[in-house]
Amino acid sequence: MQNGNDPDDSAACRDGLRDLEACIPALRRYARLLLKSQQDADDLVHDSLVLALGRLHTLQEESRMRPWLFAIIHNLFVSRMRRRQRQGETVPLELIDEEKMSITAVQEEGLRQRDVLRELEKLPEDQRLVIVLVSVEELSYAEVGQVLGIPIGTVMSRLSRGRERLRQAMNGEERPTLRRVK
Amino acid sequence: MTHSMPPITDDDLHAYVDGKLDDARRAVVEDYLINNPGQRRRVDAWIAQTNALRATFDPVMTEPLPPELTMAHIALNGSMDGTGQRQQRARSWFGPQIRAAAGFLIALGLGGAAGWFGHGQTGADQSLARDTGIPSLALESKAAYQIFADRGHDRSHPTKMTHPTAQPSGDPAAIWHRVGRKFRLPDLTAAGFQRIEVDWVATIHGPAAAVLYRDQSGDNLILLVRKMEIPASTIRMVEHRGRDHTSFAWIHGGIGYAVIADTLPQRLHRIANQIRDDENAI
Repeated sequence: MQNGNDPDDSAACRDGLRDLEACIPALRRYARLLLKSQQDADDLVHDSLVLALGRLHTLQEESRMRPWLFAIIHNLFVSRMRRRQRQGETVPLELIDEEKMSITAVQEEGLRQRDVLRELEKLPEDQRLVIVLVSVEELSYAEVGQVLGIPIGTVMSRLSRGRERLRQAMNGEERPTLRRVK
Repeated sequence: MTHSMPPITDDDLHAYVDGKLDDARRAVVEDYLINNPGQRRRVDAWIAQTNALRATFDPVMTEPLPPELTMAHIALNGSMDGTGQRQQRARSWFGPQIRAAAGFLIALGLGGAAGWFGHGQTGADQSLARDTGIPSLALESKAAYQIFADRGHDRSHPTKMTHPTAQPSGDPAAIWHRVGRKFRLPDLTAAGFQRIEVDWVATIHGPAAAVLYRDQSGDNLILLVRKMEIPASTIRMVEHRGRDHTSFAWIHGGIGYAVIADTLPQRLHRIANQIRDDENAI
């Protein structure tokens, strides 16, 4: 994992206004999943931070900043997508640009990462977001529900379905028949 | 631990993968997985997915931030119009609130912004993780100095520091209670500074005590004291020189101190050392 720069360390990302800044790398990471181009993703992060700054007084002291920020960026993303849809613009469903994800060159790892990305892209968006918020952003299940505005039971069922689809897809590629040999 | 553990569910297996089980439940799940190789394979596959996803997304975390994604920049320029387009003319959308917030942030030394404004570096390589608290203290003292020391020169309020939400000012007990730390007001008479007023000020990091001193020539000195976020941290004194003032900030035992004045840096340095040594001696 990362070094001291990593806002997954919740101590670095708890309360206090300046902690917004500590959350920026994680917001960029999530935005990169939501939007294909790095510039669009950073624009989304920027605008979310502006919103967050204006709403900072609404942040309860005891609530963690990260889920609050993720909810802001997520809602902003969704509202823009809806607007684009209303305006007849195509919404990109293949949201991840592999070039932008800086996939490591280590061969086997690289292959595996590309596989997982490709399969992740094939998942329905609701499952994909839950998987990323849980696995990569390491939010609690309740926090994921808070970010996406869904009950925790829905978080769990999306997580379960998404992970199973990923597993089957990747197993299918790696060892097509091995499992079935008795 | 209860005797009848609830049966293992899929939710348990996911929580196991995500490290969200308590010890007792994790032990139960591990036992279960030893005896159920089919489930073990599912869980292993989920763990592998998780690792691959992290390895894929994590490089973003170490990319340097573009300047427009630093809070310093956002506080100054950040704004959006009604269609969500980014705008540089700024502030129209949020009006006075965002402007006030921007001023507040800058004055009080927001994370990387502190380094950014304090040292004239680009915002890109500034990160909160490396903020020791010293830059914040320096900027907070500067804000207090600008507001209170200037007001101190106001003829209609020659000596009084006031704060709209403060306790009746000048009552040290009330102020230390608010700051959350008892602290002896340093006596700087020997250095030529008389204590004029003490009050508390709001900073991004919580309430701070501000003590205003003045010497015979009318030079003001502000001492700012507040609790730091990291308990028991100690950081040696750092000097900051602005255009028309100098400040010294240090942290001792989780308490941050900053003195700021427009007097000679050498003189202020001696005073800062004296305050530090007196505090350490307690």
